[in-house]
Amino acid sequence: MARQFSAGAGRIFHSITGLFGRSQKPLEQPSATYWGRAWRALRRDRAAMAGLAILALIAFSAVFADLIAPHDPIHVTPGDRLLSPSTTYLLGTDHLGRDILSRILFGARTSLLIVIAVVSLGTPIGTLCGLVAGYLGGTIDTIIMRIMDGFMAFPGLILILAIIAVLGPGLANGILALGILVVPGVTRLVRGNVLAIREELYVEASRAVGAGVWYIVFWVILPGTFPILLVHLTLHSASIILVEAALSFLNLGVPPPTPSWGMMLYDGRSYMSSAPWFVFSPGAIIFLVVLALVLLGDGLGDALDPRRHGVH
Amino acid sequence: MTHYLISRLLQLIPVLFVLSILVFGIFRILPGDRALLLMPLDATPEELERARRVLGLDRPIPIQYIEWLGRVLQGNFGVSQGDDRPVVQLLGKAIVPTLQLGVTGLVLGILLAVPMGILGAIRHGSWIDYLVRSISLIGFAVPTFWLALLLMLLFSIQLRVLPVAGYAALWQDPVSSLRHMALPTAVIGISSAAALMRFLRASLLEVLGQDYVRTARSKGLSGQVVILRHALANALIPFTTVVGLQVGALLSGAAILEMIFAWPGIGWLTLQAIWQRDYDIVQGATLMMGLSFVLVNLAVDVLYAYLDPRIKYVKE
Repeated sequence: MARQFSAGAGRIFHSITGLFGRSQKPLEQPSATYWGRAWRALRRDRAAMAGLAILALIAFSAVFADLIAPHDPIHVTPGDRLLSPSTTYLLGTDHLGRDILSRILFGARTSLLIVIAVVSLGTPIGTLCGLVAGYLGGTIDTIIMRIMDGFMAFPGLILILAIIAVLGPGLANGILALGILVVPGVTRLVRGNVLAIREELYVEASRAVGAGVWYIVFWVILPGTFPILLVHLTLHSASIILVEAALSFLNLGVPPPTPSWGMMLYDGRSYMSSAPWFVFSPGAIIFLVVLALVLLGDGLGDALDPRRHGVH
Repeated sequence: MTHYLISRLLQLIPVLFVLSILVFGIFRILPGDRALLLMPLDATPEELERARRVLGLDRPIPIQYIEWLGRVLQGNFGVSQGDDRPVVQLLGKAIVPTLQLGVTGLVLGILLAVPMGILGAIRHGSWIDYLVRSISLIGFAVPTFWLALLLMLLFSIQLRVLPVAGYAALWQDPVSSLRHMALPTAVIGISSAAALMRFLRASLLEVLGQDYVRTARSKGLSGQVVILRHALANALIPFTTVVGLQVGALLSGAAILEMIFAWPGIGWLTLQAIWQRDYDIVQGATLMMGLSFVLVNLAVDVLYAYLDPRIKYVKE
């Protein structure tokens, strides 16, 4: 994950941090960039690597669900209702005779899709607001931040429920509501980071050589916010997964028959005494994904923290 | 302190303003014609027009906002479409069960988190610390609604020692009420303890590295005195803020837990209103929960300033 970033817009960030980091660079790490060192630190973190492995596995099954899934996730087989786990149905079947394992694999696709959509909707808006508020300051900063405070004044799920109540349930509306919730956190984070970076020597240097405001904001300051943003989004994806599952569990998410983990729990609730496996596996997979995201997020937080580099 | 209190109250004004605009805006500006929703499907265009006029929907939006705010400030949140009862009355009735569950759950969470957070910090790096961190991680990652279902499966369906769901008022039938509260309280307690213990452990570890703790140790005070009197007292100050923020998680979680346990609180009321498209209830509940979250955090900030003298010096 870190490598992808290093290939892109982070390049300028390297050249800048490189200027300052070169003298302290440990001898046994030749050609170490910021992201390269972070990746090495992350690889030593066993918990984070376990999280990454779980996420990779689940992302893989989400993408290749058609090839891996043993059964059709939406095909109803009335004769096979509520069967306990067996060699034919490894995790049993649900109340419509559908294979639970296949539905979990396809449900991973739904969750992955939603997380990607929500993050790519909310992050650019939040980042832009944060950059503008942090770099320009003054009245614009006050206005933007007061609006974000207003959003953050609501307990998370409550605002989402209100938006869904008005727009109606469904995939697109859920993504929109969750996306709106991503914006304030990202804005606050980016703004705080910009305020710190703005005073750095390398930003002043760019200003001194005559770089324009927007060049400085997007090419000098923005890359500096990537590490902290990456950590935030990894941890926030865990919340997105949980809230999305909660929405489907409340029957306000993705409409059936699309497989979704939260909806499976909702359906399974009515058959708890006769088919406990029905509520067990969908919840376990949500738990596993959230756990993996938190482990990876914590690990990234440590690995990307510049203060910790070279300490090992 | 008075100075700080006043400045903090003044800071509240813009937040409440934006909060009210959001609650108003979500239910007015977003697509969806209220008149269409309220009137029967075969209503003529003239009837719809009349309904819009009666509802004030033909007036400019800022005017509508001021009218709405005026009504809200007088305690008029509209009426339920189902049975014409005032929303205020419904909210007032639902808040007792929610508070009952929320307060006991949070207290349980604090009671679990404080000893475990302390243990994790003073046995830093040992297997106890590892265990505390694992419990906290698991408690955070486990979806509350799944945990609720699993506990229900174990205690109500398999062991049959607790009721599956339902509510009994505490003053009418205390034993039954407590039995109904046990599972939802446990879920809230576990999930809030996870976040709280993680924070307390980290904050205590930071305090234990401070100079004044080293001084206390070097003048020969026993380990316990140092931890309880010097370190814990200071680590608990930022802890109050996290407890305040936990109230937000609690209100979010209330909707799901109250639905699972058929608990007649604000969350359950809101969900039913969403399913029945009863907008005045949803709007009133949203406003009330936003407001309580803001006020709780204000109270926590003031408490923080009271506990930590440094804040007063900065402000005055």
